[in-house]
Amino acid sequence: MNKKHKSYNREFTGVFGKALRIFLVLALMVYLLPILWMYVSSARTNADFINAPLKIPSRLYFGNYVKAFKMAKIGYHFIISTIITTVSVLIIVTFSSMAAFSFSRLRYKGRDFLYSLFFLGLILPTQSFLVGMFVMFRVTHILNTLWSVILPVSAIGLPIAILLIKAFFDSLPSSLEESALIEGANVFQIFWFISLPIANAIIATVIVFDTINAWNEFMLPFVMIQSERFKPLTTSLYVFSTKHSAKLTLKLAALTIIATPMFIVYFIFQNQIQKGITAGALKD
Amino acid sequence: MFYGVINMIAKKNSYILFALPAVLLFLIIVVIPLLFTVVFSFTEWRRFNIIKFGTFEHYIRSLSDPVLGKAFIHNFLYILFTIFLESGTGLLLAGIVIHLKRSIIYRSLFFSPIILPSIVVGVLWRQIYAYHAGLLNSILTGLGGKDIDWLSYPFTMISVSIVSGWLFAGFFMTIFYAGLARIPDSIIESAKLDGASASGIFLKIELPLIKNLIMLALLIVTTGGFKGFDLFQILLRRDPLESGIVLPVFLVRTFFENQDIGYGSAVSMLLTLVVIAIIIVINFINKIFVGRVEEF
Repeated sequence: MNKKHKSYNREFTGVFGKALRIFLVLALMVYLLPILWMYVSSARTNADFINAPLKIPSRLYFGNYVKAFKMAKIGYHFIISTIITTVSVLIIVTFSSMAAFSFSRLRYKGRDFLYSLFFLGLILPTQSFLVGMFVMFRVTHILNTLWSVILPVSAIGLPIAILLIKAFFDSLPSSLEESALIEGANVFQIFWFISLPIANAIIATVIVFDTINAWNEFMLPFVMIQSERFKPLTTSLYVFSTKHSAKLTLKLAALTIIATPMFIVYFIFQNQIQKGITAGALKD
Repeated sequence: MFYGVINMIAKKNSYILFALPAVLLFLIIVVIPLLFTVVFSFTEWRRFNIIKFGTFEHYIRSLSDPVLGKAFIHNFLYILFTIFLESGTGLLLAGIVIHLKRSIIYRSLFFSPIILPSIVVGVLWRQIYAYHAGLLNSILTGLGGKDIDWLSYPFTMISVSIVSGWLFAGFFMTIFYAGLARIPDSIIESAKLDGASASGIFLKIELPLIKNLIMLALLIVTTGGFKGFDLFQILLRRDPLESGIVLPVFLVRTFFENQDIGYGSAVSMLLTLVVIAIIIVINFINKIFVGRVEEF
């Protein structure tokens, strides 16, 4: 996409180019100030912080991280979040790649109707079926279990995943699959051994997008899970942040513990992550 | 978009089994609860006891509910602010970085906040806006100003919108950047040689060529403006003025805290209708004024 013609360039040079760069650097500093402040403040004692929230501390105090990790039970809720995310993403990838394969490569009665059904999911906000889902989960005793988050996160992830994977299949000729069919392979073998490996790039994009979505999901566990035992990181941190309102630096330390690994993962896989988030959010 | 006729490899009705897991999950979790919600919205139902069916009471009540009215106004304000703070800032940043060499580091840093869970963003900014020991007030008093209560009236909505802008500007920058990068360098170069000013290049050449992306951004910001729950719930505490109440928070409060299933369902239907109306209007504008996307 990003074809660079060597003989042309669009960069502004000279004074104007320098001015633009200076403006951008200043904007970036303002932009990153909150994050920087979080890191610095999380390594200070509470009393020291409250006296001078802006001062660059002369001595750093790293005890906050240990304390926050224990008090917010970050290790435990990390495992809950991991379970929710892993199961949801597995469901989305398996179900959506099978469905997308059938919508693109196979023909059967009702196919186009079923495909158009998923367009509904692209338009509808989660809030439009939240109440009905809440009542249904309550009646069936799914409420307050991990399934009450896994099932909706998976179902909501399906439409975009199906759309992306189907569009990918549609853009490729089916000659490989056809010759396999002539060789006598059955349709499931074709799906598993030929189509799925071809689609690995777009499936990686889907995995990235849905992993971030599931990991960061807040509204569903907020509504569905009240029991402390089953809360993922997001809502357990919410409870923590409202409970210990006095210990500001502990809160910031908890945020830092959550944010740091995410930043590291982001800077390692940033191309894949940027592609995943934009592709997933664009929807069409 | 193709409709798959070209690449079809086999036909048999039992192949529906491939689509079935996805279809069933989607039907059970999305479609059926949606129908439930429609029915509930015409039902008098509190604390899980059905009192009566077939009532329009909730929709009538919603017309004169002052808090719901406030929520609607706040959603529109939020959209108005975030159009500038999210997509406007994103467009400005994209317009700058596209003309600079070695811009990858800026792009990846501006994008980075969006990977954070809303809980981290919300709690961090609640502390930034805090009256005591908040970052913003510390800077203000350092400059000789007065402390401001950023998360209450009249600042609530603009404060939340700023957080949204901080969170999503990088996302829109990435989208606009991808669009701008598709414009051949030769077009920009020749405009430069013809003596076009930077603002002329941006306004007369680049903007018209990415107008489809601008419409897309508007669609995302306006529909997103009615769905946003996390930041409002995490940043704000309920205040008597309801200075930060928005539809999604009002909805959760109604069916979840007050257990008023009937009224909650009606509110959720109103929210759905507004979102669908916005999608229709923007698609309509898109068809009339933007038309087909030019490809290079």
